[in-house]
Amino acid sequence: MTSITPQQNITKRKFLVVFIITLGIFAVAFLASNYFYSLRTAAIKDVESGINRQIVETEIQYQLLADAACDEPTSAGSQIPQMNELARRLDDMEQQRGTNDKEVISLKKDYSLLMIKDYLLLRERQRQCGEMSSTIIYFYSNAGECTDCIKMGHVLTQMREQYDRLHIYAFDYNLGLSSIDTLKSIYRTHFDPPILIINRKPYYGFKTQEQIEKLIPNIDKLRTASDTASSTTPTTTKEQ
Amino acid sequence: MLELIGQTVTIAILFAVTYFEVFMLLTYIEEYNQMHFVPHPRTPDAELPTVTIIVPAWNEGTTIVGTINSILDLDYPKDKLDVLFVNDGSTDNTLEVANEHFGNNPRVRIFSKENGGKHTAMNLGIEKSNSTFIGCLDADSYVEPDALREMIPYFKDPEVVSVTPSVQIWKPDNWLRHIQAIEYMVGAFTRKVLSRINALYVTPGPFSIFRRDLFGKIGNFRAAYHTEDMEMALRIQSNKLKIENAHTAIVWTIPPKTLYALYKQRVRWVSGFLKNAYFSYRHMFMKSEYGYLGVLSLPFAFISIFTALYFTVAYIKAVIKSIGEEILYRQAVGFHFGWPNTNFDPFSYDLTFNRLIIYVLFLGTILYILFGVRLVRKQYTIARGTLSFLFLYGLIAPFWLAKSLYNLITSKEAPWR
Repeated sequence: MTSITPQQNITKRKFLVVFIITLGIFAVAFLASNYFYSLRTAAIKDVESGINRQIVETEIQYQLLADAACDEPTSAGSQIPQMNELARRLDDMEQQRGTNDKEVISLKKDYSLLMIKDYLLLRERQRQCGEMSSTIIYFYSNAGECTDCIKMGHVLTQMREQYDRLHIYAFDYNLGLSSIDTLKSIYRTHFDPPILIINRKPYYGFKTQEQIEKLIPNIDKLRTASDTASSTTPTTTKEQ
Repeated sequence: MLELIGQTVTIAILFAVTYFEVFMLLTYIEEYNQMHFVPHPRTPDAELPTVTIIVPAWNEGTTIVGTINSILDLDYPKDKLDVLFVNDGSTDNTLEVANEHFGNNPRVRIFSKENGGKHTAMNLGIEKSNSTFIGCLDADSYVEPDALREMIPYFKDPEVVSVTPSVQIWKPDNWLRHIQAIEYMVGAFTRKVLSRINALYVTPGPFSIFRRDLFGKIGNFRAAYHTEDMEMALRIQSNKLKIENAHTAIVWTIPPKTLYALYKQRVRWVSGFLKNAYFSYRHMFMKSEYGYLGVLSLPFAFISIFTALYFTVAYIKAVIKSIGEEILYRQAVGFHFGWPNTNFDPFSYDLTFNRLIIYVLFLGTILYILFGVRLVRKQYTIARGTLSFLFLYGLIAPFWLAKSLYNLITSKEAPWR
């Protein structure tokens, strides 16, 4: 049996020790948070690098084989599952670190460039091979409260699940990327997100799935063969 | 700018909460040899002091017999322990029940007076008693037979004027009472740790024991916003005397059964604490002459109310945002029935700095529970209600915290019942 010891008297030393331990916990949490962040950034860069390599390979394949490339299986547009995964991860990072985080913005720019490259490749294949597929270019905005952008994202995500030959490319209108600015000027858009570009024509404001389907010719031919054939993940930070 | 201020406030709050948690856990480790369960060496009966237990009661006809019997059954010399029952103007059959069961018992003295509040009943008991020690037992509580013998040894230190027991929940029988059972076990941990640094600010109604001469020195109980037990503890601390906690002295209490009853009880407690601390004892805040109580436990108890409300507001905002997102989703794509998407990516874990600190605090809370359970059950076990406590308590407590804060600001009285 241990006897009852007197109560502790107040000492500055104990306050200091606790302060140092608390500071230590904060320092470890800060370092751990940065470490996890750098791991995630590296993982995203890896995926981006992999997608980029595949796109470059396909581009080279086209140039080497010219028209005969139509007989070859293509990777144009086939990067969508990886891109979806990438977009979801970027979305997670954006929510956790904020939309103004420099690293997140940089990763989003890389991601947007990959999408543009994939879009160009897909368009080239359509031109060369007359392949049946449709594209939607979607501009959203993270500046301010764009609830219609969030809703639009849900609709587009759902449509991609239903139409495996419908290719959706989503871009942050205010990302400050010259390639995106070029796209905006090509389609003569003005800032009023959400904006959909379908068959080279811009449409402003929220559109339901039914409204979008009416804008795409032969939409039924783009439908997914089986219900489980496609990804369920979003493609962009504003597609949920 | 607002975002920066918000982030700074959040980090400051997280630092304060972490600091307090580290302080408690470090003290627990330092004082681990005082958290034992070996009974104190049995004091010979001849050396034990006389003790009077006052039982104030208002409309407690259903529980009074069990309460008084538990005192009479204490392992203590019969000639050195008596009960002083004070009927505080009950409108039910409390007095009749007491007379019927204990009217002929020489160890129980029965008094009846007009209703005047618990403090008046206690003061009448103090006036009528001449024992060396005086205790109180609320008429909805029961004591373990060894409780008094476990408490008396703490009075060997002449500066200790009050010893508090470990108050626990009697046979929890619904989810709310199980949550309270965990809360009380956490209380066993915090009170024991705070007692080791003389930083207790409550001498609970259920079975706190006082030296009788204390009342001659610092005065009797006061109305004290219906929390005379907190006011008495603060007055003791204000007079630089000591309060101890006997963790092995178990006292069982019957908790509120419904949310509303719990809310009312806690509004009374928290309002009483805030008012006593702010209106009567704020001179002790941040004064090192009042030891760890003045510099640590009292300010933190005050701050923790604001902290809890701050995080609750943040939580409610997150819930509203989540509901808003769900509404937007439904507006966009309508309703679809089927299995939810179960794809899970570890990437979605939030491992930002603030979240990591919250995980640390959550782990600290789990340690509080484990150590509290050990102090009560004498072993590390997972107690029923732990999960509910972890995930629900934080949702219900803010209601009484907010109301108590409102009462403080508007100086509104929280009713006793």
